[in-house]
Amino acid sequence: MVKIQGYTLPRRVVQMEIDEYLVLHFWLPIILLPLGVGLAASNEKSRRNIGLILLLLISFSVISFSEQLNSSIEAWSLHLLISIIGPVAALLFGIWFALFSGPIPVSPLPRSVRPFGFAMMLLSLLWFLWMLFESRPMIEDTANPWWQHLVTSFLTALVVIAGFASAFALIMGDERIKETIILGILSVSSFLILIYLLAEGTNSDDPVYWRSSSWGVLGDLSGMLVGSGSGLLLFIYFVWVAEKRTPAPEEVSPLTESETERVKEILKDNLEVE
Amino acid sequence: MKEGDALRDWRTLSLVVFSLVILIFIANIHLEVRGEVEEVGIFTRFLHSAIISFTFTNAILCMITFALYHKHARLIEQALGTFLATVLGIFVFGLLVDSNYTVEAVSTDAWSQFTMVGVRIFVSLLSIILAFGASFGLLLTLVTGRETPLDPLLELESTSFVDEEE
Repeated sequence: MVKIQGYTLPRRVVQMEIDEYLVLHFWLPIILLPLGVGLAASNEKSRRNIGLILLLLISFSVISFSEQLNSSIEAWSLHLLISIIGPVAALLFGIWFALFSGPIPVSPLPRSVRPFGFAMMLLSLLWFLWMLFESRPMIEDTANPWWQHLVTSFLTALVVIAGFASAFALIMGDERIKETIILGILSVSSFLILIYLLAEGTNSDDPVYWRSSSWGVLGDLSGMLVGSGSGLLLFIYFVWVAEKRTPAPEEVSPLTESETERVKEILKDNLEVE
Repeated sequence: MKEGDALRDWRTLSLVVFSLVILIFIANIHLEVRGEVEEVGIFTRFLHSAIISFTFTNAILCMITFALYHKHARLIEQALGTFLATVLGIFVFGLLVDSNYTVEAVSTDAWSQFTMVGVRIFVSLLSIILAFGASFGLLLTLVTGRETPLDPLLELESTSFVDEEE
């Protein structure tokens, strides 16, 4: 038996070799996803079609994952994804309804829908809190080992991003005090929930596991920031090198007599006042 | 807005983000000192996460460069550069695992180490996207909710200049 984030799992779950099934139904779709999205966003029709076919194959490959969702750590992550579909869908629909039923000229929905949109967003929040404190995702009495990782990452990211959005609305906006306060409340309350979890835990999880998870997540998030940031900087450097190496355009040869005559004709037609 | 003002505003925003990150670290350190905590190997997790993120970022940029290739693109520098950086990332990760800088709870072979860090990054990325969606979705909803008086220019009638000339 092996422990991951406070949960004891059968060793077969964590002692992995290269599993062809997981490569085909999990890793390959994840790796090919950017290629599919890039091709689907292309201007050329043939490339766009190839991209759409690739995206369909990727979706089919993941959906046809037929192993037990508690059989490997990859499968557990898919189980986590399925578990949070409800609150995420409520959030997205809530934002959509509230946004497009406001005073905007683009594809407006009826104004009466706006409170319903905010209600959906509130439902999403309550659903998340209910999962957090009362109903942790699990299969057959085994709790999902990625749940704590997701929650602590989400709360940590929400503190920083909502805090940034709040300051952004105040500094860049014009009299956006209400927006600043609401996003500030979101940031502070996320921080308080995180602190509560670290200090008190939940019904299903001892605070020691939350502390360990949060501490580990800080390492992961900092690593992601440094790693992806340096990857982007390197790409910018490559683009800069490419631009520097681009030769200056060749000199254009002067116009021939016939070309000069044609230009004069066009200018005469367009500039002469009748 | 003057250029200096924009610079000052972005500096203030960066300071806010930096302060929040420090606050979270302080809260974690304080609570870790106060209470019991499992050994998580934060430095190893940081290293693994940084190298795999670097590798993924370069691999993604390489694939997108190929997917959006056009006749003016500079394939040698961009695609080859990102491809080599991806290979370098995989090589460094292998070296790290061979040097026994391994994360806990999984076998110490490179594939097991990679899958563990890869899934961790996948879950963290999902949570970051959710946090972005929630924060900026709410901000956009609130910002676009303000009633503003109609632009008086919209009420003006258009004039046909062609008719006027005739």
